[in-house]
Amino acid sequence: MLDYLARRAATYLLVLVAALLINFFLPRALPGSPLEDLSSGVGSLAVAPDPATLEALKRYYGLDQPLPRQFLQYLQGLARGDLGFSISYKAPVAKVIWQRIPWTLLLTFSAALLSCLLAVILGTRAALGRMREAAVLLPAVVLDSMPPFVLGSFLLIFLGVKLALFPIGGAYTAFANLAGWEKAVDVLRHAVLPVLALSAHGFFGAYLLVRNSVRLVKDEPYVLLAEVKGLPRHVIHYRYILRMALLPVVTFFSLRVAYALGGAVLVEVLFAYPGLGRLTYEAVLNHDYPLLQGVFFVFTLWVLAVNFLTDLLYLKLDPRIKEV
Amino acid sequence: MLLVLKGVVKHFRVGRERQEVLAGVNLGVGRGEVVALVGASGAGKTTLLHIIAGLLAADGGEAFFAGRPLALRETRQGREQMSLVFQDPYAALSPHLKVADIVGEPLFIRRKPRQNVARAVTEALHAVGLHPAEAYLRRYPHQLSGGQRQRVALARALVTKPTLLLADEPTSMLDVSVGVEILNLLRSLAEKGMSILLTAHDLAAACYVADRLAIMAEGQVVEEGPPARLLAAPSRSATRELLRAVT
Amino acid sequence: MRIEHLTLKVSGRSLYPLWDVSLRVEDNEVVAVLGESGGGKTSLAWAAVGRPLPGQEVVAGKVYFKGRDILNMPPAERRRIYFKELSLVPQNAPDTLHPTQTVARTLWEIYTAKNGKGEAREAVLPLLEELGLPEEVLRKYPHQLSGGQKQRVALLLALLNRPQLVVLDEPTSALDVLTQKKVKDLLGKINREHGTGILFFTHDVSLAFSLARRVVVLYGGQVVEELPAFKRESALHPYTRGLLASGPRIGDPPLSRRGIPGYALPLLAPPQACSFAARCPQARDVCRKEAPPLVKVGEGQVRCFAYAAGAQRGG
Repeated sequence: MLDYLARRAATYLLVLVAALLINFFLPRALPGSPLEDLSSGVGSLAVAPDPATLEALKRYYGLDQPLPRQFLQYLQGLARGDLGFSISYKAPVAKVIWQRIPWTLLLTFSAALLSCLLAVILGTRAALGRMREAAVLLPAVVLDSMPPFVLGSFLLIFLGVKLALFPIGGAYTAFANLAGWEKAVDVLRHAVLPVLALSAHGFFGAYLLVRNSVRLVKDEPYVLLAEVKGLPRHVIHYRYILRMALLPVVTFFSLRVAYALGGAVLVEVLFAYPGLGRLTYEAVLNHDYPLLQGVFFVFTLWVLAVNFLTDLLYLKLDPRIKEV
Repeated sequence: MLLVLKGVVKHFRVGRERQEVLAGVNLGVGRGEVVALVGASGAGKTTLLHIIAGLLAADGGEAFFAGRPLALRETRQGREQMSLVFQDPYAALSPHLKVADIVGEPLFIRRKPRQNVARAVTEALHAVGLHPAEAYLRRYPHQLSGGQRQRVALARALVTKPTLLLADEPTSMLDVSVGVEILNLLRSLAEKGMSILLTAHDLAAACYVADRLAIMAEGQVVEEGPPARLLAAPSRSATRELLRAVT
Repeated sequence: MRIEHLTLKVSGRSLYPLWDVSLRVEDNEVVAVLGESGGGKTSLAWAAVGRPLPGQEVVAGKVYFKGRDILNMPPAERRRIYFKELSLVPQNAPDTLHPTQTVARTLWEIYTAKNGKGEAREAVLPLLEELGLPEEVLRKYPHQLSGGQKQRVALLLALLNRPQLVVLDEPTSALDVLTQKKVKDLLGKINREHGTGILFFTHDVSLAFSLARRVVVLYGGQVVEELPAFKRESALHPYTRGLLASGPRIGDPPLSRRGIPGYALPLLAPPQACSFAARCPQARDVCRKEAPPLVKVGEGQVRCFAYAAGAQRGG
């Protein structure tokens, strides 16, 4: 088992190194530079700092150094836990990102949980023939084929603007100084629409996965025998069918959580939600290399961490894996 | 002797432990002879067969085939002049290939010209009692009964005209009334000069088909000889135990 | 147990795994159902415990266990009987153990479900020994055991609560000869010592005739012969005789045995001919035109026109 973990860890390390390389060089391959934006503000009068100032700024941010050297400095910074200094926020990247992480966690976890939970309930019922599937299929296909930001726009217009059931933007009511329960309710109300937008997409995949998985497992020899063993019905259901059928759903859930960040970018922008997604968007627009690097670095760690936790969870759930 | 094995050793790793599956096997198979490896499961019969066929590498020992040294390494294409038939005729044939392609595959792999392959396939099907061959060429495995499948598997093994046929429990997955005909088929192949080495856990079936039994226990051949002599005076406890189980 | 005129159909298709099958197992009796692949053994084994295989439905007939109709019993009652009074060891027994539970847990689960809390260990240990399984098997997961060990664990599971009747489908076919012998001896022993009734399905002629008191021969979904085991040498039906003649026995010279040519065809419609006619060396015209009835001959029954002469019109 330790062998297994060591091998996994080595793989992850390799992926991390590759990701660091890409994270560093990709933003720098974008046309334009961070200082260009300083000199030509979008929609505003062009302010042209004199060349001497620009040179000074370049030196200040280390942009005058050759790329390999910049990379080395970046790595040295990382080793110290220093992700650099954001050019557009004028603050340490680590601090900027740290403030945004909880919001994104809230969105992605709730969304993945919601879609998987619904998928498990409906998928199981459909597979066991307790429900007519047609009622789920059509809306699920429609919702699934819609990109999250399109669905988000619909939700925003109907539930947010027309019916005014939920706030249309932000993560909490600004300047309200709420505390305790009221604050929690306020935060949840703000999260409803983005979570719905994120969870609808991918629900269909999860639903099909659960349904097919339960269908396969319910005819497995050990389930058939369990019925003739006269075990109580709930034991057969939960311990024999669901426990085995949901193994692949664990992977699906972790993938949803891992890759929800990508989907979160546009949805967070749409709902003006102060999470990592919107931060990414801003960093790209502003050519903020250090911030972009930082965000991508956090994304990489996120995906790797979720995968690693999933591996650990599987070891617990399925003893057959240890032998591999 | 066509095949001679001396001190063949094989280990498997199970977790951290090293298990000795074959602990120095000595065995010979003569030309035109049928030898049956008999023993309880775990005695190493199948592993030995796989090593001879080149599916597994041995960890020690030497071998001679037709007088020349035979390296007991893994070979991807299988060995010239040897063919292996598997236990399970339901799993051994690829479900999406027609009989003609299944039987002809070993020749296609050896890049034999197409018309030669077609002729060899027909001959091989005849040899295993599937005639007229034309009635089977275009069928898929699922359209055949278990006995017919095992015959197709045998035809595939015979199509390269091997001098040694290796068969792993060739009848244990088949109905008795069908399996006995496969045993008869193996026997008549031997009468025509084919050498056969097979494994069997059923002593009665082994006695029925073989010229010589090799009793295996704990990774070694513990006793060998013609069935009649061996059963009349078994000298090893493994043999006596096997005999007790069937009588 | 009494099975009366049981006919099974594959749902949505005109395919009959069993046609009008009747058989009974008295208290403490050992009955063998002998047949080869395609004969309907597995379908019958599952239907006999009141739960036909998925995709198969009962079109006619009843199964009585201790006088009660088990096919139409409320599920809760059936659950109470299962593995307490009536157990099943299916053919693919190695695949019927919960893959992510240890053997101990699977055993404990069935023990407590039937007996409430209690010392499952005391019931398990003696059986482990009789089956020749080491105690550490309990701590293992199914994938860590060999096929033979799993088969025996499944058997242990079925015998744990000392049922009155065990139904076993091919109890020895996955085992090597030595383990086969152990399992056979154990089945004989529990029948003698605990009075457990045994209904087993097998293709192994010698197992059927040496372990059972009565042998029922199944071919093409129908009972073709029933005979007391000691009448082995005087079996009547050509199929039974073919089976008896085909398995090699020690001392047979090579090439002295003959198999049965051809293979069994599935039953696609109500039988309108003898199902064995195409493979039968003695088939006559009538065998291909009419379905033979099952008639009593001596202490057994046989479904063949060769013996139906007197009973043919009346029966």
